[in-house]
Amino acid sequence: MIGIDENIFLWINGLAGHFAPLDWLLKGVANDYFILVSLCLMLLALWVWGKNTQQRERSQRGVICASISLGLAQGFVSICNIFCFRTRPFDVLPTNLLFYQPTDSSLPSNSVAVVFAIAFAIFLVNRKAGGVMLALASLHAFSRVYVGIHYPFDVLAGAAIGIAIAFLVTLAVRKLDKLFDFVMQLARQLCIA
Amino acid sequence: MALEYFYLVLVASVGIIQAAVAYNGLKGISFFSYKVSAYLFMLVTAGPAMVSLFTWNERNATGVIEGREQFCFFMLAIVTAIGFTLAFSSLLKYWSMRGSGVKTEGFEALREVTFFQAIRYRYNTVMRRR
Repeated sequence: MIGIDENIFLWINGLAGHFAPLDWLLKGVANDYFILVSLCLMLLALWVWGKNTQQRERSQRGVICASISLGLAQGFVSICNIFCFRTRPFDVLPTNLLFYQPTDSSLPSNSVAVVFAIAFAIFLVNRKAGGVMLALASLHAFSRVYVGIHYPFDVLAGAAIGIAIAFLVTLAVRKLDKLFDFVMQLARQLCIA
Repeated sequence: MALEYFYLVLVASVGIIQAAVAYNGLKGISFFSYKVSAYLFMLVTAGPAMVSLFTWNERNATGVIEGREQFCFFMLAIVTAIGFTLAFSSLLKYWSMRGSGVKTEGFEALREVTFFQAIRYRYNTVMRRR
């Protein structure tokens, strides 16, 4: 299994360094801020999105689920890192490293877990916006392998964690419908929802 | 570095909010009378901010903001952007959007009046009921 993971890593990372514009593009996508901030700004836009209250409330439900999922995904990965540490690929394999050298555990990918948690929570309520967000999250995951800081299995594990957390949070929010309605009513009274 | 991050998120947020409220017709919190102006505003604010975030590692080769610090600055930037938008749009449209009353609540009210006006109407309604 580890052998397959390393072979796929070497193949994807082997693409780096041959075409400068692609390297530049994926370096930007792989960084810790661009995709994450882009997704969070999309959440901000979705908060006011909708032609009427019903449509907007649907979007806002997704934004709340995404925000909770973001926090839980981050927390879950931090807990995982206490119990499991995997060395970064650039420490053990010949790597075309296009990025700085992170020192934390490679498995699971923290940033991928967070972006997938946000994207999937939105996908469950808004297929169009969620689809775009999932595409961005997938590109981010691929770029982390391409620039040489994660194994493919790290980003797959991150994505699985993000998706699972977003799914569970959405289910929980559906169960707590009355509490959600109360919060939204309060926010509407204050004209912020 | 964290301050740079804060400014970039703040500027991008203000731009995105303006484009989103213009698209959804929430005139009460828009700085502009025309949608096109709001979209152009987004291009000149969020555009450069996002480019700066995209090229972050070219300017700060090993530049990492710790997760917790990043979260705090992000939230601070978002709250500042929302506060600025609500306050500035309310002041900007104080005279041009003076409705006699608000029939709807929440964001729907912001199609007719500014945020401060909506809050005042809501407060007056609650006081009258008492």
